[in-house]
Amino acid sequence: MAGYVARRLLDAALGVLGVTTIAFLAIRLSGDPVALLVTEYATPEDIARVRRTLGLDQPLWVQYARFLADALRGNFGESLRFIKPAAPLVYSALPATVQLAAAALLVALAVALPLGMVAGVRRGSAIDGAAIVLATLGQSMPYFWLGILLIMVFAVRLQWLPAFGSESWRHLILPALTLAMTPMARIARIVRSGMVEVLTQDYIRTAHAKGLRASAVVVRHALPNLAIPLVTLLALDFGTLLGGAVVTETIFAWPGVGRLVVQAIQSRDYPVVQAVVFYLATAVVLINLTLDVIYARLDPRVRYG
Amino acid sequence: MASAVLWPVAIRRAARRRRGHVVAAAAAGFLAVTAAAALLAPWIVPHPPTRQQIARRLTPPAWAGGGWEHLLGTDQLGRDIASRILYGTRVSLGVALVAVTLAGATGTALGVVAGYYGGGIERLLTRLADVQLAFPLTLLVITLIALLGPGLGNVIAAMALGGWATYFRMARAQVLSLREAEYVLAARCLGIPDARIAFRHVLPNALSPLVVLASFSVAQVIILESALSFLGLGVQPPIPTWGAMLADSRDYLAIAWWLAAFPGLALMLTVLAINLLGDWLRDLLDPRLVV
Repeated sequence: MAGYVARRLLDAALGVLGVTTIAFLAIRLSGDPVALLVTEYATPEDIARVRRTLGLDQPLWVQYARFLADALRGNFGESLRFIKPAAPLVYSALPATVQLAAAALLVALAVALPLGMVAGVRRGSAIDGAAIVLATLGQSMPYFWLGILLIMVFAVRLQWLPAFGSESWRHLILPALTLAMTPMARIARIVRSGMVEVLTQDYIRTAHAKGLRASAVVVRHALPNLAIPLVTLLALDFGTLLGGAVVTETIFAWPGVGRLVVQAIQSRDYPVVQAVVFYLATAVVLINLTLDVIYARLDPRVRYG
Repeated sequence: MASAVLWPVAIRRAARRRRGHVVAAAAAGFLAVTAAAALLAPWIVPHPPTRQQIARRLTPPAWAGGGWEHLLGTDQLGRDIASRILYGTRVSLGVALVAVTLAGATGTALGVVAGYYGGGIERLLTRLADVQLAFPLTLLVITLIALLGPGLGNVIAAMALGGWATYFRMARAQVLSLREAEYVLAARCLGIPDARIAFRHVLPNALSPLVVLASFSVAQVIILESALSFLGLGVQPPIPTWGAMLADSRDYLAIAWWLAAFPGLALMLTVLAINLLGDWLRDLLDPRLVV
């Protein structure tokens, strides 16, 4: 187990290194960063000065070594747009994204777990049919369209909920619903099919035969078996959730990392882009690792060599 | 093709799900019409998709008070929404097909080579794919776009670069499990060159899960492309895209619902049809699955 975690950590570090290296190279390959920093009236001397200040006159490998050393200390340079260090901008946007993602995940689980369970237990019933239709539609509906429709109905027409900003918990409702839809559909699907499969097992028949109530059979004997596919799915979906957060935050003007990175890309604010890429990559990798460890705990059959 | 032996079983199982076939046929029909509309767009659109008629801006759909001149109404610049949706189909389907083909062909070819030959190349590629797969596609693609810049070619490149690893891993796993099969041994004994065995004998038997994967990723890529265009990071104006139409619609939600409704509906129906076909294909090709 320890060896496995160590190897995964090494992989994770390699991954983050790879992504940041790509970020480093591509910015230098895609044009002169100095051109973005100076006005059109800059003299060649001005440009040379800026280049020196930023260390861009050094050989590429020196720049790369400096970049890595700075990145490890959490220093990504100054945001070109806000004229502030880039890393703190990312830190301060992080809680909003975590809040949104957590709320979305909770909503998704709260709806999908019971729905999937009932659908699986009552296979072929009307509830099952409705659950399948909902899950299929939910998987095919673009979440940003759902977001727009929610704004149109609940914010513009009915004026029940605010559409933009993050001043109160009411601001969280529409973005969280938007972001929850896709994982909700996927979780409902996996819970349903997991339930259908588990209920055919011999030990379920035994549990029924020894006179357990049907609800006890489902909750105590069937449900724990769904933990493994569920954790697998959550591990896979976590990244999708973050990707969705980028779009959702932009729709609802939610002040998180996603909106920050989209604005940074649009204004070619590369230090911020690099900082976000670094932190998101690190977060994704660490969370994947954590879920893998949980996975090993949940399923004693899983052996890591 | 040795998997031909398995087909009757698969088909008999699937035949019991006639409803599945009907749904799949409907989905396929819808997609065929959509693809035809995309190909024929320049000849069948009622209006040029970028022609602005300010005097007719925000005309409602025909049944909601607008005229039959603009079936689905016009946008904030007086452009015909139906025409723009038809043109948007070209981008959505085109980008998805090209990107998935590139990612699938590259990933599969590398996976077959890695799985069949093994060795240092296999270790290197597997490592690379594992590292890349740790990052979610959406984030990876947005990062690549941030670096490459927006635009049609870059969107396709970013999605192909972001997508190859899944195919690689699956193709490699399939080939690894088939490599020691007796027909491969037989082919080797007959002196057939390795490359020919790998691609003519092993690959066809490894193909079905890859086809299912590709069908679902077409749907995923369509949504992703729209999301990028929605954020202004995808295909750039004046090329009409569903994502950009949805982005524009946000400023007019209070007065012109049709701006948001129809591009979203087009997007959803297309993705739904592809997902339904994917479900059907998976059930057909994977007889182990119990639904």
